[in-house]
Amino acid sequence: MKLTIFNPKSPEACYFTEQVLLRLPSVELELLGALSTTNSLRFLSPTCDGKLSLPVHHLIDDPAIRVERVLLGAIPGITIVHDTFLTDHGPEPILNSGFSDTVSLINGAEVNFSERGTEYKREKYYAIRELSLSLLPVFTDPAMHREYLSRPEPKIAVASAYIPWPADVSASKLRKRATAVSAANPLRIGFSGGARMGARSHSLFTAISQLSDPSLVQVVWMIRDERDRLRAAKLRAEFSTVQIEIVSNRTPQRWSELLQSLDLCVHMHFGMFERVGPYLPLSLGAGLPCIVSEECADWLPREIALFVRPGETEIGELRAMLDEILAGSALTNELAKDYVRDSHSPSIVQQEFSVLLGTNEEALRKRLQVVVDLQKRARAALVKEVSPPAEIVDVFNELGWSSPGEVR
Amino acid sequence: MGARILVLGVKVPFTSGGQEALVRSLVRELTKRGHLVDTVDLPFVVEPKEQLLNQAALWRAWDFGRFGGKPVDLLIATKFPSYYARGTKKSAWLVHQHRPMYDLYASRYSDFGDDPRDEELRRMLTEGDRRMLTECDYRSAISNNVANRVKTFHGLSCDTLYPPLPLGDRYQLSTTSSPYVLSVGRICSIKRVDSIIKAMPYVKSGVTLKVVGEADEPGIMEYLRNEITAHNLMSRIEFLGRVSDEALLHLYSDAMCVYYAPYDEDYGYVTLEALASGKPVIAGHDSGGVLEFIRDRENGLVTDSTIAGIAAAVNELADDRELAAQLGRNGRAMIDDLHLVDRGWDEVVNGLLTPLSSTH
Repeated sequence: MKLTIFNPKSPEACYFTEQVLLRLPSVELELLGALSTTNSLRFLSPTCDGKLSLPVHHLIDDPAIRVERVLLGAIPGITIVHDTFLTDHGPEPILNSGFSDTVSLINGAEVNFSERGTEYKREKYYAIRELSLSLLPVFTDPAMHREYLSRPEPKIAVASAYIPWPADVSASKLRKRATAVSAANPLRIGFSGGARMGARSHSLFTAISQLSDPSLVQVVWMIRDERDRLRAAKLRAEFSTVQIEIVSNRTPQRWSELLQSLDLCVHMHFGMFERVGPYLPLSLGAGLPCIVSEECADWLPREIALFVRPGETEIGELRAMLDEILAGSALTNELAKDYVRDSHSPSIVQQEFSVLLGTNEEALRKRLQVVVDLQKRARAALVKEVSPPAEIVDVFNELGWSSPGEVR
Repeated sequence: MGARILVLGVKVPFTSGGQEALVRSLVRELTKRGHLVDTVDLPFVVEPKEQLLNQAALWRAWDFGRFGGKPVDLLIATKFPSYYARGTKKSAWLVHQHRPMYDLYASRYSDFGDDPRDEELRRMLTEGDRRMLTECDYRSAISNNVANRVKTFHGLSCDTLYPPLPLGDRYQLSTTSSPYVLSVGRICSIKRVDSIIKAMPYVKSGVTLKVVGEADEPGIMEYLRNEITAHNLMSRIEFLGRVSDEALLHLYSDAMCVYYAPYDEDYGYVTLEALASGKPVIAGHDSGGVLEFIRDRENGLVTDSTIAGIAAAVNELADDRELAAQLGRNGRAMIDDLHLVDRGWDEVVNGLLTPLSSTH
């Protein structure tokens, strides 16, 4: 099997590629950057020297991956799904995509290509187009996968799966707190969420501001990049009694380094609005106590994290937990390291991914052939549509533009 | 005896832009050097995009190798799809390819989507482009920006031959200026004339905007006029349409500064014309080929392309006219250093005629 990975400029996607995809055994790999759009055009043949050849796309809610988002619909393959809630609506070709017609065509419906100029409506936010046009969507969050399975839209996938984020336990060394928590040596809380409601940053800061002595706590807030700074700085200004240090350019590697200076991590993102990403497994792998949202309870064992219910009681629960930790609760979490070792270690994730590919190889080969046949039909339809005059038919033949056996 | 040369242009009827000026200038310079030169323009339409196939094939279908019983020694192709032409020898001086398939793909400026027919169309044309560009006996581009795109998308190298200024040494330097911003170029969304219009409410009163050029996008003038009315800018913005060379020279010479911040421009004559006239240029950080010449605070101001950024740049030059004058002087010095007024043509012509040299 050959995988061609369209690797967007996203630290999380690059991390997944580096830790999982590039280490898959028995797979030939090719890595392409964002600008390699024309390289995508080689995907006419489903095989490469007899090997199944598939593109791999990453789906992330970021305007920086627009090329990849158009491509993942134009040349379906494996999609590593990091987000299903897309605040970036994308450019016109995505907004007015006739993907539902393409899905019908691939699924064998007796329909023609749609009329030119047809206008399509798009459901806001949920990545229906991207998920419908994936041969094998692989979700890095089980809740996203569950939702995908429950949705009624027609799809072209042969299978779907949840594959956990890789996290290496040995990569992080936990610091040992030498002295008790004090204003001079506050409890350092790591926070990797964004500034929107979904990450619950406002809940965390409110809870801290309500502590009897907020100066005993310091939050190190690692934001995505400079695009988030203004919003983060505004929120920080609202909580003047809370010590918040904003650090930009979040990457899994930088988060791993930061973990060495932290006492506690908060990953309360919940719902489709924001995902914990690789950051929660990395925090757990470092053996740090972690406060998480109740949403994680269906995949995260209760004994390795502190769970908070989003909603009315959220701030109160959070405050009580912080009080307890400040009163001297243990600041290590050895059980979490065992969990990460068993469920998230890169070798295990790589193995799961390999099994997924192996199990579905034949089905993928057949499905991809259907896509290729559709491309041939598309070329025939296009040539018929432009109806080249007799004087230029020879040129169409010379340039290889004629569809097999059918020019006019 | 000179060679028989055909310069191949692509004409969008009823519009005029940098490419037409480039072809005219090239013909003039080749003729000056004793060659027998003519142009061939075929019409080009971008919509419907499927017809790009027929348009490219039409260029290919002609035999440009012989006219009037005599051979044509060299074809010089400029823009997609003129390089599909067939001839004995072929040079390319690429203005640009069909950008919505390449660098503009997946942007607001592209009409290629995920319809399987669009993908096939893209595949056919990009493969066709690669074959045709490979076939050229000499390949060059009008800027590093265009050359880099060809390298990125086709893996083919191109020399960069900067087009010298279309009006040669006629650009006028003036020690005075009037308080207006000059915008020159086709009026379409990728040129972002709308941004300077939207910036005008934030520009200090007394500064006006003069817009030279014609609309070549449906509905854009209506949109711009609505903006102007909504912000009561009627007395501060003037659309001049297409103007004579003499009028343009005067407008450049008398302007306080020139606004030219298109999105990822191929090259941009306007930049050089402004610099030759001793005027600072306000450009965007994503203006592509413009930035091959404009350096922030050396010969212009490079903004973040936002309305606020553009307005701030105009206000800065309006507040500090000495700064504007100094940036303008620096710009003119750059033009002189690069010999872009006239001597630059030797390099261009010599490059394009490479296939005719005995050693080629």
